[in-house]
Amino acid sequence: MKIEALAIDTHPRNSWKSFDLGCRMAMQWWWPLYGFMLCSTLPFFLLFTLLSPEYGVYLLWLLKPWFERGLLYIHSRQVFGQQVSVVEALKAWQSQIKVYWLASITWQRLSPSRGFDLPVAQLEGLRGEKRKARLRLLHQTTDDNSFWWLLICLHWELFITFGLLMLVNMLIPLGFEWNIAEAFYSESNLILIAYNVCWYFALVLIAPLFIGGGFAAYLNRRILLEGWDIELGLKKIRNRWSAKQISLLVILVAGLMGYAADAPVAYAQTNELEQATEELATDPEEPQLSEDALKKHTAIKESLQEILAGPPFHNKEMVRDWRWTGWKWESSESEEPPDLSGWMGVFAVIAKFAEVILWVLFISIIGWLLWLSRHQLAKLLNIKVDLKKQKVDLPAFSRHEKQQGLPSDIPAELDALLEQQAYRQVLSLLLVSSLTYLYEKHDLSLTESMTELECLAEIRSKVQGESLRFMTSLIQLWIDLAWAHRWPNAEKMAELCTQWQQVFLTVEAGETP
Amino acid sequence: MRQNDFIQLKQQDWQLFKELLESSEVSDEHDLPKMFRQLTHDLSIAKSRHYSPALISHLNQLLLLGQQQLYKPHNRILMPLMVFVKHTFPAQLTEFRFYIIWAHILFYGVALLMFGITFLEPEFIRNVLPNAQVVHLEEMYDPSDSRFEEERASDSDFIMFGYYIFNNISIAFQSFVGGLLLGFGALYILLFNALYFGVVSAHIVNIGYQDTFFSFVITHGAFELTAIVISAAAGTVIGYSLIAPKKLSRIHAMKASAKKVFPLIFGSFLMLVIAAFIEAFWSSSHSIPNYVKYAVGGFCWVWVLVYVFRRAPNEN
Amino acid sequence: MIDNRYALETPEGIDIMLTPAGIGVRTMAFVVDLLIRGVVLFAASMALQFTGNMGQGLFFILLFCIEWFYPVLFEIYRGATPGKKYFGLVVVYDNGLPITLPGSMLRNLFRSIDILPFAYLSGFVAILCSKQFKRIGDHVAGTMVVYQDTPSKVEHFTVDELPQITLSLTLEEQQTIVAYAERSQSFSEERLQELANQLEPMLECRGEEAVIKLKAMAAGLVGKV
Repeated sequence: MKIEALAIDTHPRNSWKSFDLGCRMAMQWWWPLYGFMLCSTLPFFLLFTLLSPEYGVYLLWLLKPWFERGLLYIHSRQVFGQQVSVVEALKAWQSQIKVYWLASITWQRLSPSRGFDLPVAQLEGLRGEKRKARLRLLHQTTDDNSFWWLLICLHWELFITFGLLMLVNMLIPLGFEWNIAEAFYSESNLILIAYNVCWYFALVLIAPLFIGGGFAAYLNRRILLEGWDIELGLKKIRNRWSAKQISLLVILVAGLMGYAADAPVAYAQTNELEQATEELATDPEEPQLSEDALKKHTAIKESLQEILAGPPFHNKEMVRDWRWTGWKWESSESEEPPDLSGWMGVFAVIAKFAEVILWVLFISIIGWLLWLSRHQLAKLLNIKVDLKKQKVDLPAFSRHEKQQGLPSDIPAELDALLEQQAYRQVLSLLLVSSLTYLYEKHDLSLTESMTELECLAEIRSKVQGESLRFMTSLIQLWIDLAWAHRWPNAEKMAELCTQWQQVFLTVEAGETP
Repeated sequence: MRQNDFIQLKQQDWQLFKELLESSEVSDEHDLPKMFRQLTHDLSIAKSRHYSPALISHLNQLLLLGQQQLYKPHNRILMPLMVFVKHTFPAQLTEFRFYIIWAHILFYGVALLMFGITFLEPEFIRNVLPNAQVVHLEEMYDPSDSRFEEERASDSDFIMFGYYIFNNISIAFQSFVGGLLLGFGALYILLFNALYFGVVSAHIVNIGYQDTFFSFVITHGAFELTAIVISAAAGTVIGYSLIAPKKLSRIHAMKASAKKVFPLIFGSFLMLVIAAFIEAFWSSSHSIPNYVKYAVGGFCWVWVLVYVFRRAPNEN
Repeated sequence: MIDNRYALETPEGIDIMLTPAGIGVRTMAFVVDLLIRGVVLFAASMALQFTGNMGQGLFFILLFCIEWFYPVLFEIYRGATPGKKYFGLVVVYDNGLPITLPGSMLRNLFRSIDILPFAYLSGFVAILCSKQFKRIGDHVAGTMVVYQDTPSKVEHFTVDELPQITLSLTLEEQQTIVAYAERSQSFSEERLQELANQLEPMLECRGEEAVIKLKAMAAGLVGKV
């Protein structure tokens, strides 16, 4: 029993609130509780109903207190944070029944405060007169509603049984002649079995709640009467204190090491600080903060984060996104007209065609997907596809004039254009040809929507040296012409053309034999 | 600060706050919101310093009372009812016009279809209603019946009023709640009523009792049928929100749509009360000549349809 | 930590603790309401049986009104039906505010879903599965049923003498000791000593002396001089 790991909130309540707490406990630990309940009762239920479909359930009802022992065992362990599995509970169950095993199913079976009294015998282990005195003491209050709790659970058990029966009745299709009221008075076995099964489920559902409520009421009574919560608190204080006494020596020894252990933390903190200052320094907008102010700033920020994460702030966050959860066909709202027999033949024909069409559609979609991912596939299969044959996706600005591809003899074309003083065409041609060249050479990622400067930035990231210098001046000239309408002079254009020949043609000549 | 010093310091404020909450009159002397904020501050201090649980729960309760007083929603009846009839209900009718129009088309479409079928094939009614009910129906609207000679006593009018209210409103509520079954419950009730209505009216025409029947149903039918159609439309809105919750989770979408269509349900509920009233005291009266009933009934139909289908006036 | 309380965050940034009411007490409240309704209907039928058909009509109207509006009227004017009032419950919106007409209408309309398939089976399951013990109507209307506690008096305790004790305690431990002193009146003398004996190694005494010492500590903690 670890009192530090207490799993419930122990403040004084009234009895109704304690029953509510019991229900919450039962729901929180539903897995071991209901698992145990099913595992332990199902064989008995099956056996008894096989023996006698009529009276078997009464036998199970009589033996119910035995199963409740196991439930209380789970509740009492879970309260102190000890996880109990179904198997553990089943193993411990036998030893739990020993106390009052006969009394609990005979004269104590009809006790009005069964759930509340059970912990006294089972957990406190009191017997005989002692137990009676203890119970008298615990029941000495005006707020003792354990009998009401038993009545409530009893009635819910009945109501749920009938509710389930009604549910079954509702689910039976109309054509099947079965009236619940008639069947109930008839001698048929079917209704008996249905009733037994429904009652069994109601029993399994209610029992952990009943025991949870009783146990919580018992704990609450002890809290009010004996200060059970205070006792736990005081025990905790003592545990901490004695642990401190013992570990004094250990602490003395560890004290020295403490320094060493502290150092990396401090180092990490300063490291973080430096990083923060660096980040701040690179931002020109931010005024420089002094080291001290920064320290204070981060410290405040940290403590704020800590406070915001704490209890009064709920930090509720609702995140919604779309997620694939598999095929789920939602039913459409349309109502079908009642008479369809004439249409059925037509539908059948349509359906057959639809099947073929769907298959065709499916196959063509697959084919289309394959076509879209052909490059990846090629890479996967190690097939060389000549990417250079692909059309270059040149930025839109460079294609100022409509061009049907590059002329075969670019220098001659350039000269001709220079003669006519068609500088726009000249620049455009230069841009197109050099971009095409650079694209092939340096694997530029160009898109149609790029602006001049974006294009230049892309070139700058991939290309160095002479070509870059040329491209910078070329694009600058282009911007001046296209946007600022500054007409370049003839010398400059001629110089650019020769530069282009030097940069691109010579390199190309040097490379390709 | 120790707990006792804290209590000593604040106790008077708390006491005053409690007294102000309990007194009904409002005075400008004390700033209640400010005191409330101070109290929240006190509670957070008490919590953070782990003062005794009793003190914390005391402050907690005081704070809850304060919150309920300060943020209390209004709870007036008459004025909101006026606003509802004049603005809220027409506005909601406009917003869900699509559903309402479709519900009308579905209802009257099915009713007309059934009317046609039964009119052409009188035996069709045997498929829909059990024989006893048909006989009962025939008796009810038999013009030669002695009941139509004398005026029904007002006490039996009261029975019928009570019965009609109970009956009609259950239908409206059912179709609203039936929306939860993905809207199928609402549609089922709508279609079932349409079928019943079509078959019965055609049968009445077949056996030639139309005068007693239509003079009876025309006036309250304006309210009753429209209300049933509107509530079914409201049900399908909820159902549709479950089928297509858009960006919300299903439970949130259902909540939001239930809140949104609530005016529709409440409005149809009002209409059904009116209908029950007319049905019990006006429709069943035999001293009123039929042409008056037709005139008044026609007027009611026009008024109801105009009210339901006109565009809501702008809020501003 | 399992607790049946529910922390409600207010715009002022503080949690108010509300205690939602669960199956047990709400069943009891429902039974009380059922009895009240039954008695009223029975009395009405007795009184109206002499008025003939008109009486029957009135009875239908009454039945309808009680069926649908008994909870609504009581909830919007008194905060809860008499049955709930009797058990100290009140119906509030999720934000802790008193319920109004739309909310109350909605939650009571949806009673007809909760009642399915028979005897509130869906309502029972919904209440069990909800941390705030909401039935389906409560989910739809955004309401819940909570216990209404009146502000309790802070209990005072008396100390005669004040021996000086100093122990280093965490805040939670201090809280335990203060609670010990504040609730000391509800425990027997033997039990008080038994509890105080838990701290024997620290207080270095037992029995009565330990009780006095512990109370003195509490007095010191709350600042009683």
